[in-house]
Amino acid sequence: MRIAVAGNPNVGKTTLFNALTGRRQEVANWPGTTVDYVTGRVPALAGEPLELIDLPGTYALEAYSQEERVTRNFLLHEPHDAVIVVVDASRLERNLYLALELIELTPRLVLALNMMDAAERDGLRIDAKAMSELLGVPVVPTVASRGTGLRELIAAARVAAHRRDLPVAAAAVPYPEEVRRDLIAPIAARLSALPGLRHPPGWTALQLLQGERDIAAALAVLPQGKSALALARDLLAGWGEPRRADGTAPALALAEQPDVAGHQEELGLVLADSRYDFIAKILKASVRRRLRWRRDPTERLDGLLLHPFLGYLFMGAIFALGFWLAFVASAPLSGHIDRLLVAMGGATARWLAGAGAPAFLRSLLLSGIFPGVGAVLSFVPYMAVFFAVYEVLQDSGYMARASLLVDRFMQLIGLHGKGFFALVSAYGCNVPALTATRVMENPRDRLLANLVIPFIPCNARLGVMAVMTAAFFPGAAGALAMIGLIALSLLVLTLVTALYRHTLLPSEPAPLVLELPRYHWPSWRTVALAVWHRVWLFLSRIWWFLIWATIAIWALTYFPLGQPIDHSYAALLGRWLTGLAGRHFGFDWRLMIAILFGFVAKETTLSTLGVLYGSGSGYVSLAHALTHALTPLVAFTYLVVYMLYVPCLSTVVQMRRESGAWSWAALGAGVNVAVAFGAGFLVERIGIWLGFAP
Amino acid sequence: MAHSLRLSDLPDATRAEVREIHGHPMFRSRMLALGITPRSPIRVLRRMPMGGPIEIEVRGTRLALRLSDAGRITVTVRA
Repeated sequence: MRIAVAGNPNVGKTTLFNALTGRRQEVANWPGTTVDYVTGRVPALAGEPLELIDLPGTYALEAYSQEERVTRNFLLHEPHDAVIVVVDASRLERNLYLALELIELTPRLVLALNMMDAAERDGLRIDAKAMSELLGVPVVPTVASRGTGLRELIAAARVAAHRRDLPVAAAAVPYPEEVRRDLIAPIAARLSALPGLRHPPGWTALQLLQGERDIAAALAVLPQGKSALALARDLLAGWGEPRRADGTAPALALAEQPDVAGHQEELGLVLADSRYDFIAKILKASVRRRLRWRRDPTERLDGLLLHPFLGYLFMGAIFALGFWLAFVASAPLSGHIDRLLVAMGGATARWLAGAGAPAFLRSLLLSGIFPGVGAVLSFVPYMAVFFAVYEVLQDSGYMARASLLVDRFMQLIGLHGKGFFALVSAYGCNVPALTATRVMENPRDRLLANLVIPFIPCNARLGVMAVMTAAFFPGAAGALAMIGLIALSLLVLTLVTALYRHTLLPSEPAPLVLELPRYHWPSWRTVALAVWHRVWLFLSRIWWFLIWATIAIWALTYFPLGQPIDHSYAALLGRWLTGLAGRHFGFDWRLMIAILFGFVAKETTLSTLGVLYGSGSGYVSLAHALTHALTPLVAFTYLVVYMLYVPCLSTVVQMRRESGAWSWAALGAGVNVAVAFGAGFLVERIGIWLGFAP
Repeated sequence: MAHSLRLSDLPDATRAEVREIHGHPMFRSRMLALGITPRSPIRVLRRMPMGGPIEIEVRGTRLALRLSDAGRITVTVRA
C-alpha cells in the first residue's frame, strides 16, 4: 500500500515522515529531474505493509518550482492508495487551501493537524471532529516532534485507502451558483461520459477552466476529449456575457475575439475567493481562540534578527560560526581519515612487499588507489558538518530571514537572495554549495548560481594560494596579493553572471516569494537523516570518478617503466600543454601538469608541485624550490589561473547532478577554463607593462 | 472614504485590504495560493534597508516580497 505525504513547506512534514518511518528509508532521484525524494516503510503489526512517500513541500497543486512539479506529477499520475496532507494547526487559514485542492482531487485523504502544541500555545482550541465533518475527510491531530497521534494517523490512512464508497465531492467548496451551473456542471457532465478519464470530472473541469496545460494535453488524446476542451473554451469565452431571454448563452460573433485568458484570470480569483470563504467557515465552526497576552517569540526574535543594522551583525556571526564548524572544526576529522589511509596504505605495501608482489602493484596501491579513496573520504567530514549546519539553519527558519536580509545586495550582482548562503559557503567547499542552491525555486536562478559558484575559491584553493603568496610575496605584500586575488574572483563572478544573464539565461531573478515561518528547534532526527541522505548521495556518485582519475594520474607519472619523472607520460603531456597554452603565460610543463592534475582534487596541488620540482617534502622546501624556479609575476599569474579554473572533478560531477545535464556541466567547466586563462593572460600582460619581469 | 495605493507604498503597520493583483499569471496564482486574494486583510511589518524586500502579514502567515513585486499588488486603506 502506497501513501503519499504532502503539505506546505515548514509544516513539519518531514519530521512527521521520519517519526512514522524511522530509519527504514531510501532516498532516490526523481527520474528526469534533479529532485530527490525519500520513501520509507512503516512496520506493519497487522495488515498490509505501508510504503510512505515524502513529497516535496508545495503551496498549491499548480507547480511553481521543479520540486512542486514533482509533487503535482506524483499526485496526478503515480499510483498511490491514499494521501496524508500535513497542515500546521497554528497556520490553518493558509494551509487548508492546499488541503481543499487535494480533497477535490481525491477523497482518499487524511488531514494531519500537525503542530497541535504550537496551536495550543497560541490559545487555539481545534475541534477536529467538527472540521472533519465539514471537510468530509478524517482529521487527526498530531505532534510529530513528540510522536503524538501517529498511530491514529496511520490507522486513518489505512481506512481511507480502503474507502470504496467514495462520496461525490466530499467537501464541495461552495463555488458561486453561476460558476457551478454555467461552467463546472456542463463540462463535468461531458467529461464523465468520457472513457479513460483518470481524475474526478468536477476537478478536471476546474483545471480546464483555469487553463492547466498538462491536463488539457492529456485530455486532447482521449477520444472525444477535444470536445470537452472546446466546450470549456466556449463557456469561458461566453462567461459573464449578458444572457438571452431563454437563459442560454449568446452565440459569439465570429469576428469577435473572445477574451478567454481574461476570463480565466477572473475565474481564478473567484475560485480562490470561494475557497478562502469556505476555509473561514470551517475555521469559524471548529476553532476557538482564547486571547493570550503573550508576545510571539518569533516576533521578538525577528525584532533583532531582521533589524536593519543588528540583523546583519547577527547574520555575520551565525554564518561565521556555521562555516567555522563546517570547514575549520571538521578539519581534524579529515586529517584523521588521511592519516588512517596513509597508515593503511603503508601497511598494505609492506605486506605486499613481503608477499613478493611486483613494484608497480605496490605503487598503484600507494599512489593510485589509496589517494583515490582518500580524495573521496576527505569530503565526508566537510559535507556532514556542512549539511548539518545547513539543515539546522533551514529547519529552524533562519535561512529564510538571511535570504530576506541579503536579497537587495544579491540583486546587485544579478543573483537571487536565496543563493546567498550557497555563495558564501562556496568559500568553504564548492561541492556542497552547489547542492545548497536548491533553496531557489526558479531553475534558471539555480542554474546560474551553479555555473558561477566554481569561480569562488574554496578552502583547498585558498590554502594553496596562501602558501604560494607567502613564498613569493613576504609580509604585507602577501596580504595585499591575497586580497587582490579574492577581489578579482568577486569581479569575475559579477562579470560572468552578467554574461550568462545577457546570453544563455536571459531573465531577471525570479520574484522573491518567501514564507517566514515561525522559529523552532530543529529535530535532531530530521537533521541527522537529511545529512545521511546527502552525504550518501554524494559519495555514491563520486567515488567511481575519483578513483579512476587518481589511477590515471598514477599511470601517467609511473609509465614508461623505469624512467625518471621528467620523461614520464605526464611530462610529455605537460610539455605539449606548455606548447599549446602555457608558454604564453610563462608556465613550464610542471606548472601545466599541476594545473591538469589539480582538476582531480585541489588538495593534491602542493604535493604534486613538490614532487615535480623535486623539493622533497614540506612546504618550506617547496617554497624555496618554487621561488627559484619562477618569477613573482609568473607565480601570481599562476595563482590567478589556479583560482579561477575548474575547481575539481567533484564539482563537475556535482554540477551535472544539480543542472541535470552533462552539457551544462561541460559548459560551466569550459567557461571556467576560458575565463581562468583569459584573466591570467590579462594579468600577465598588465604585469609586464608595469615593468615586472616575466 | 477609502483610498487605494500600491502595497509597496503602504506605510508600516497600517491595516489594509488587498484590491488587485497584477503581473504574470504564475505570480498571481502563487499570490492566491499564499492567501493574497482580493479583500484579504494585509499589513506591512517591516522593510529591509536600501529598498530591499518587505515583510507582510496576511491570513496569519508572514511573507517577504520584493518592492517591485509588491508594486504589482494594490491595496485599499479605510480611513
